[in-house]
Amino acid sequence: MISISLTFFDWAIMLIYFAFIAWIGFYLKKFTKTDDDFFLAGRRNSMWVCGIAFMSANMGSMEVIGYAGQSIKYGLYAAHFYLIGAVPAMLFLGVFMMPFYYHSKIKSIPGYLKVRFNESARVFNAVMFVVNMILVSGIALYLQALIFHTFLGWNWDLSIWLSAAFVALYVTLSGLISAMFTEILQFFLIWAGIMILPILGLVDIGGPGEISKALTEGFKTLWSTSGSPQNNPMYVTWGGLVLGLGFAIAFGYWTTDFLIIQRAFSAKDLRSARMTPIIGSYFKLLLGVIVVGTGMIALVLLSNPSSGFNLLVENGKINYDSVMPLLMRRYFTPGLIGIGVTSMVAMFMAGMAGNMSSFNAVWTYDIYHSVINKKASPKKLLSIGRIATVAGIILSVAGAYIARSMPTVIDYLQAISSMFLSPSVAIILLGMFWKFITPKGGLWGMLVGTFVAVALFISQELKLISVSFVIPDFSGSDVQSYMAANFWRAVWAWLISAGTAIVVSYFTQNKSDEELTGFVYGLVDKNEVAKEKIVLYKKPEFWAGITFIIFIIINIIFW
Amino acid sequence: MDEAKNKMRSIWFLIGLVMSAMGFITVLAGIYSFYVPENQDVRLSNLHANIWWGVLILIIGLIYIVKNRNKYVDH
Repeated sequence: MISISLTFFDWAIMLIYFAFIAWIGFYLKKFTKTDDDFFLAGRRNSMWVCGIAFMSANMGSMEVIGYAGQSIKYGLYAAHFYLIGAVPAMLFLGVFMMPFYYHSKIKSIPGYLKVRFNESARVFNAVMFVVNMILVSGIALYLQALIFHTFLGWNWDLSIWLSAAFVALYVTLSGLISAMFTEILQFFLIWAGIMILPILGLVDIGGPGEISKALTEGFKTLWSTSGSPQNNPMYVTWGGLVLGLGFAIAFGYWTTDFLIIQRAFSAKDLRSARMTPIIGSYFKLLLGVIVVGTGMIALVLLSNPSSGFNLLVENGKINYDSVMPLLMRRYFTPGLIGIGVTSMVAMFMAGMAGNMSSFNAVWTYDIYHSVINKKASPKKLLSIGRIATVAGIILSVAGAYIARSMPTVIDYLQAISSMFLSPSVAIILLGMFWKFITPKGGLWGMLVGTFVAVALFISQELKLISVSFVIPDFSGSDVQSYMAANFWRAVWAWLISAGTAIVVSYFTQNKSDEELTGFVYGLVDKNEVAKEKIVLYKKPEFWAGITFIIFIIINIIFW
Repeated sequence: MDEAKNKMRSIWFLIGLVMSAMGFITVLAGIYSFYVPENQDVRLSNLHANIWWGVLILIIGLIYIVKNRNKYVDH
């Protein structure tokens, strides 16, 4: 354990944060009257509110503290998670997919599967989502408590229960609207806490030029060493990066994960909904600069023994996630420590509130209202949503204790949860852009794809198959190729889902064009699209184009 | 005034309040540690980052307060 000591000023900053998020739940409760208010924040939010909440729901501690640690392992290759692993999918969601989601007036992603395919596809996807959300939420809770325990010396149980209780309080009282309000505050806090780290780090190491001097080519480039897995620290080729991370995984997360897309559904109009992920893409690029930049600075410090900087080693194992807290301890003076620690708390709460507000919506609409009680009134749904939030948080706490007793389970569960999304995106993309896919085709595609992905993973972990079975350009050891295997498994899951959906669709009956209008590309109500005549600089396509140009330039500069 | 009570305060105003309070406390901490340096182990403490970073957070918070002080949202 290493301790970061807090002064009176640091505690005061944390107290303000906790007081605000407790108060906001009570303040917003009087504005939460209907189920639409609770689950979709009344569909009245501006593109900035939605865009920032969208990004904040993504900025959990895994995304910030975790990826700073990944930068130590993979160098600049970790930036791919913020570039090809995010930007193209976010822009695709805003430009092409959002009109279908928004116009169909659905309340969740499983809801889209119902209108496009059938009830069975919806329920299967909803159950997968709910199980996944509880697992992910439990692990996030465990990791957060671990950080507080390791770096602040806080009691493990107290950290878990206190954090969970605050999230339960404000999400139960006011649902998505208070989750989004607190996410916006958390967004500002996270930037305030982490942006200053690379600034001080660069001063400490003597400027950006030192990064280039200290690191080998594999650690400071994005693509030039991706021709062969042996040449880069991630042991992956450009094929695995583009198809696995850029397509199967990124599209799975950014275009079908209801956790983040729910924020766009709360937008006041279609343009705001489309702008939501596009605004998010700018912040995602900036976050990549801050997080990966911090990791690279730590790499330079680690390469210089006289810097006195070392990562935490526990039981002979390097704790890569210790980078950010250790740099905070190195540079932060009183006041800044308070902002830094509060930003870490905010990362956790943003992620947890996101998990819970999407969990309660999917449970209430896609499982309770769809299977258990089809005649439930809106008032009943509202109370079920509140109960689901409390139940979800209790289950997450239970998940955290299970993760604590079996720490090695964490890596596996994270990998499995990413596999759930790959079959979903295959079916949603095919269903949205090709009317040929039938309801049975969609359902069987998801079932078979999920089964194959999980079977591949379990077989690999039980050593029944080698990692080389999954990776076509395998080179290196199983441990070194762990990330590459994740990428390629997602590709196979996608292809098998899509292939199954196409074959089954060939033999089964489809819905009529009338039934599919508004849900499939080419069968859109033209009148609704034609209404939007706006100046160029207000068009989502314009801002998406600018992000894409920035994305290309970054890739060329750091090629 | 009654009408304002039934409308939701702009989120940006509330963000401004919280950021200003946090920025102010950070500046206070910076001024205090300027005169009473506590932890000599902290690198670059001579830059007094808590003062200028705190001022920046305070200014951002104040801008949000001033710009959104009269804004309410229909809900």
